[in-house]
Amino acid sequence: MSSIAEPLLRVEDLHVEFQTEDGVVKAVDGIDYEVGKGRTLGIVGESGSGKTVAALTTLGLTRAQGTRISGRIVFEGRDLLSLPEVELRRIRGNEIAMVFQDSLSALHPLYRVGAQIVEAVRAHQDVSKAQAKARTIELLGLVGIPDPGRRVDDYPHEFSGGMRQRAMIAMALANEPKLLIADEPTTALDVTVQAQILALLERLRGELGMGIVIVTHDLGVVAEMADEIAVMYAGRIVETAATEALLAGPEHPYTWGLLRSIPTLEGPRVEQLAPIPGGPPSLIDPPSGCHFHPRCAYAQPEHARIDPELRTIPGPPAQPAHRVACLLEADVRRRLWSELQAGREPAQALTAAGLPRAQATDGPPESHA
Amino acid sequence: MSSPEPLVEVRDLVKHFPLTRGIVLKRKLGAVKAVDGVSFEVLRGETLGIVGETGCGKSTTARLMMRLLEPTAGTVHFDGQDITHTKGSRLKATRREMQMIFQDPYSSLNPRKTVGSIVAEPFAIHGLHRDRAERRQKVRELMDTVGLNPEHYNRYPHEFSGGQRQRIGVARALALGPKLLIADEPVSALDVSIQAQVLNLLRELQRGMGLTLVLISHDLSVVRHMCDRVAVMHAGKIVELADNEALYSSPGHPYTKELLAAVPGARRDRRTIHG
Amino acid sequence: MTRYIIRRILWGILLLILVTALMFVLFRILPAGEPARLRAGRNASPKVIAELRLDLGLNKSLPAQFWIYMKEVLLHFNLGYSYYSSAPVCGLIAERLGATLSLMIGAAIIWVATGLPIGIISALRRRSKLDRASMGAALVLVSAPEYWLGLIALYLFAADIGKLKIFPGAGSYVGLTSDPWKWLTSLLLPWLVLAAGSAAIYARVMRGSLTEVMQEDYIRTARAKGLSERRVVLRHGVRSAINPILTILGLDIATLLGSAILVEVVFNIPGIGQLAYTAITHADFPIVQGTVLLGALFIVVANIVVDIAYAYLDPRVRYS
Repeated sequence: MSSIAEPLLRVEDLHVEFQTEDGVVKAVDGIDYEVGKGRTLGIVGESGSGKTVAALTTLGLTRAQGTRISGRIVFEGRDLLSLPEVELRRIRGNEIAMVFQDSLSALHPLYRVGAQIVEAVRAHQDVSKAQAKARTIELLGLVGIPDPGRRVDDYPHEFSGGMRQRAMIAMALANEPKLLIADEPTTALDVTVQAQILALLERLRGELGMGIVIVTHDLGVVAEMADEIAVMYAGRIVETAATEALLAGPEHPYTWGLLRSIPTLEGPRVEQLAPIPGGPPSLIDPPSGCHFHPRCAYAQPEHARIDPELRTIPGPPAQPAHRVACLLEADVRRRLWSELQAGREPAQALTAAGLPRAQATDGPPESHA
Repeated sequence: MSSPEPLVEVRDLVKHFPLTRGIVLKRKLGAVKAVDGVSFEVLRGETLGIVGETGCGKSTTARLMMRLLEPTAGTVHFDGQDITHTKGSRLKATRREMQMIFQDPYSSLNPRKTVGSIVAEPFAIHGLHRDRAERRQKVRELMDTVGLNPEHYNRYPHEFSGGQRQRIGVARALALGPKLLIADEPVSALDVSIQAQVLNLLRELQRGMGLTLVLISHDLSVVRHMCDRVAVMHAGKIVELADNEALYSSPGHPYTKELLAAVPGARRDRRTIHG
Repeated sequence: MTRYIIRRILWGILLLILVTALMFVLFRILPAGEPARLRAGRNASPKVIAELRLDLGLNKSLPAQFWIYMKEVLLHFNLGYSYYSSAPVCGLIAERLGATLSLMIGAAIIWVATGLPIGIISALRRRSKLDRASMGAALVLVSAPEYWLGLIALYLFAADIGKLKIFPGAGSYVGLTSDPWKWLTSLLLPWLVLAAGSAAIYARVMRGSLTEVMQEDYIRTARAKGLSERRVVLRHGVRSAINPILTILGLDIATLLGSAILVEVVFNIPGIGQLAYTAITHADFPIVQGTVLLGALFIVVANIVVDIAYAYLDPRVRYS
């Protein structure tokens, strides 16, 4: 499992800051996570959580003037952040590959799909054009594109959305990467197509023994695909655990908020969804202390002053460890969660758990909802 | 909740978009059958959901209901009147009774206009509330109803978040006091936690103002949460129309079953969101 | 696609006929001067003028004149005869076409070869000194009128009258076939003058286009594939950025005829521009009409070529 053997990818204390006209954007504010060989990690977050920036930084795609990156990203014993661009290029598209969200804009509109995949192959393998093209047709077949010999010469706009996404996956797999990072791979697609793409990724992971990182806002997707989930909020990881553990016993109030605000296909219909009040915070001037405290119904005054650390929850050791970054006591949290599960409102759960209503009734900042 | 006569009645509705060819004179080759024979009713006060995948015709159906498009065949009745081929001022008068909320909060608002003038535009178009002070008051009330700060009357769309912009769209739609509100993918472009806020808002407004709501979405969970009855569309036709409970617990048509099975995290034999 | 091309050509022909008609009417209506009198010279007697008018067919009614003209053009490709010299317009244009084409094409090559690289580098190094300097220079060159620039250039660099005697001066043009070297050197200064403004524009356009393109998702994908930055910029970036430029280029070459007039006059190059200029001063309608028709032809053809080329450059474009 992930911590016993050396993990495929280990991110340590990653910070990514961008210099913009309005100030310094702290897109990623100190995160740690691991991906094991052949395992799938799901990184869940909404816009402004920093999940995409974290994924792009793994491949060094956020390096630019005015960007400060610190921390370590260890892949096969080497710190990717310290590698020169030349070395990183050898790894990109080769040992670590990435699949992006919008396949129509992620593929070059003026080149044939086959040509773009051939380019990916020849960037890392010393083969002839003909060999690369044969490999490309093979890859297109592998990802389930019918009649690959003919479709290899089509342009991206001549493919349907689902086919295009498959083609992008084929391109990412061209050099048999050890790690695949998928940024919102199914978001723009129809439900039935989504299901096919996820099934495809699952199958390929099994066949090729790849590690996968799926970055998404869709809890349903990670529920299905991921072995472990990391929940990000405002540039930090607030909770991470094995998927079953997280869904059965979430520990962080943001995770509770997410789970309670999504309509589902099963379970009872609720009259009103329970949205998280307010909106995502500014990354230039994030809230002090716990980034979530302005929107947290259970926040206490000191939560605005102390930065919570990601700590393993008490209880029998789990593999991987269930960790949460919350300043509330563990037993208080458990009490709150069981109250919420029983159908009580947050305010009632607060009193039931013996917490004072510390927040002033202004509520969360209104400027972002 | 619903009285015997439906608010909207659609019978054998067809919309074809022709494909043509030719140098000087265009020759008709064939047609894209966007909507291919659709019949249903929308009962007063209910929330009807129309679900389907890309290209199934749900958006076209909505636009036909609103008479933003003219049907190739079939009829559309609104509030007892046949509006299939109305034009001009009669159509304009009918339009006051039905309004639409669009998907993309970033492109459905004119970035050059202040929020106040966007919400007040329906008044201007239909010649209502000509007095400036009265108009401003009305706009403020609307903004308050949808949960926006009325003091932000003079701000521009780009100063608001996606969820707030969607609220502006709702305020604009409510300005004329319509009987029917059609929401075409109102939350697809929004973050998950904001989606819940906007959906709750639509629910509240519908209950409070007695609106009839037609919700179009590809998201089956959202439709399940919001709608009393659900129509499933595929290739321009309705393949199943049933009560919410019935559809989700025992779907009839194989396509509906396929759709439900495909939702990630939904299948019983796989992990679901609720563990 | 073929249907599209045929349709465009038919419309193009219609357009040319309309242009000719319009020119015809304009010249007859506007007080440009009496061609017969100008031809006859000073102190000519009314009798001579009247005879000339008869000769030139100016006594017939307007529609009659138009009909005769159109018949000649469409059936015999005869553009008429100069009022001034009685030489056939077609012949005059044909013998001067070479010079003008040399001027136009050479200038186009120069401005593309200098403007685009500067634009690319500026885009990649935005806000650097090079970028600011080249954009500043571009602004100056774009604002300067060609004839002014031409005169300044002669004043500074012409072998006969300039301060630094580098280039041959005005009037030194010879045809390509008679003396290639002299042909080349005599065109250098005119080329630079004609190209200056356009090079500046193209640099700016390329800068803008490439900057925008480099923000696109597919550039990020290209980098994620592990391609070298050079390949990313050229094969992925510039390839997209160049589309709008190629379309502008086609149209610019067509309208170059207008700018060429001024440069030809300043540098005394015996091209169509100079011909048109002289004809205008003499109210020599047939020649003016002929040159305008030629210009219109250039533009119509350029438009069609550019549109067709665009369909090849961008596979998403489909004409029906």
